Amino acid sequence: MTAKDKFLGEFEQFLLLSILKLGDNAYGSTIRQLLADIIKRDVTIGALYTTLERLEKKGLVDSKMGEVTQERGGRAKKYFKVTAKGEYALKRSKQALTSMWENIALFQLGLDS
Amino acid sequence: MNNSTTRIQQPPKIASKFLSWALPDYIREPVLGDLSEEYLQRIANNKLLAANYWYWRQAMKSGTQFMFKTQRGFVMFIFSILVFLGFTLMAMVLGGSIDIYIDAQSVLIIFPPAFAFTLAATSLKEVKQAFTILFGNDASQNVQAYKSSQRVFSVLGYTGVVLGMFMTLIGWVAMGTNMDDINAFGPAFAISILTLVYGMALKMLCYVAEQKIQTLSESNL
Repeated sequence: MTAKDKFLGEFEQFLLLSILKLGDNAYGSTIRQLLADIIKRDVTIGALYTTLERLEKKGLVDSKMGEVTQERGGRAKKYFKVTAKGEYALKRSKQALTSMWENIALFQLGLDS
Repeated sequence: MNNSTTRIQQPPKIASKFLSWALPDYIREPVLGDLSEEYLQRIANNKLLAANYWYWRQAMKSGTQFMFKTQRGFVMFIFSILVFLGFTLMAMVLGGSIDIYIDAQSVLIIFPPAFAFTLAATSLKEVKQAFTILFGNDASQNVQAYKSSQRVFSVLGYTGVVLGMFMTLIGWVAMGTNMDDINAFGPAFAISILTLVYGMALKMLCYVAEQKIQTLSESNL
């Protein structure tokens, strides 16, 4: 990844962070529910998988098919894992945002930082 | 959990089928599984209506998102038919009234016989296959399947036109034998021409279907 590479989008960051938070239990349904619980965003499963596919193509996440369970109508889960490249992209985006936020105060909006 | 809850543990069938049709192969299983799992969780919280609404919303939004990629051929075909119907209706309205272009008898003597003749000339299997190829976008078909599907639409279209001509001529014969009632001549003539119009409309749709299959065969083989 070079300095000219684009930073991750907001939703891409949310997805990568969700996968990291969920650890070995990161698949479509759990990621969707985590996003709904923490950032109150009710994303459609289609939008979720479209972004995950894009991240996988970029080499930022890996996926593997899991076990078939009864409550899923006999359908397998697709587990996701953040790759080393994905972690680096996340750190890079966070550092860029932190740098941009330095010495910024949003008093006018009534926020204290 | 009571019996009624056990009975309704499957997500809404139509929504599920639509989503399954629209999704690409590589994510069909996990996506349907994820939705099914969350649907059951919502039902377990005694929120059946909300769970059904949620499932339909997810299926419709995600399905429409993917169908423009996975079922492009079908979507464009339906779109072209809707455009055709829209402009035809507009022309009819501008020409006076839609009523004068609708005649149930003419529909009945064109469409069902055309389909029956097509079934007789080909086979039920070939007809099913033709519609599957047309509305599907299944790249796994062979040359023979594409050719027989084109033949199905060719037979259907030509049969429609020939039936239209045939029925129009029968109408003219009937009119000729009753020429003394000049007041009945106009409406009878219009109805006799309508059968030909329906036959031509069927031929046109079949021509588009034939060309669509030709394009699919060229891109998939």
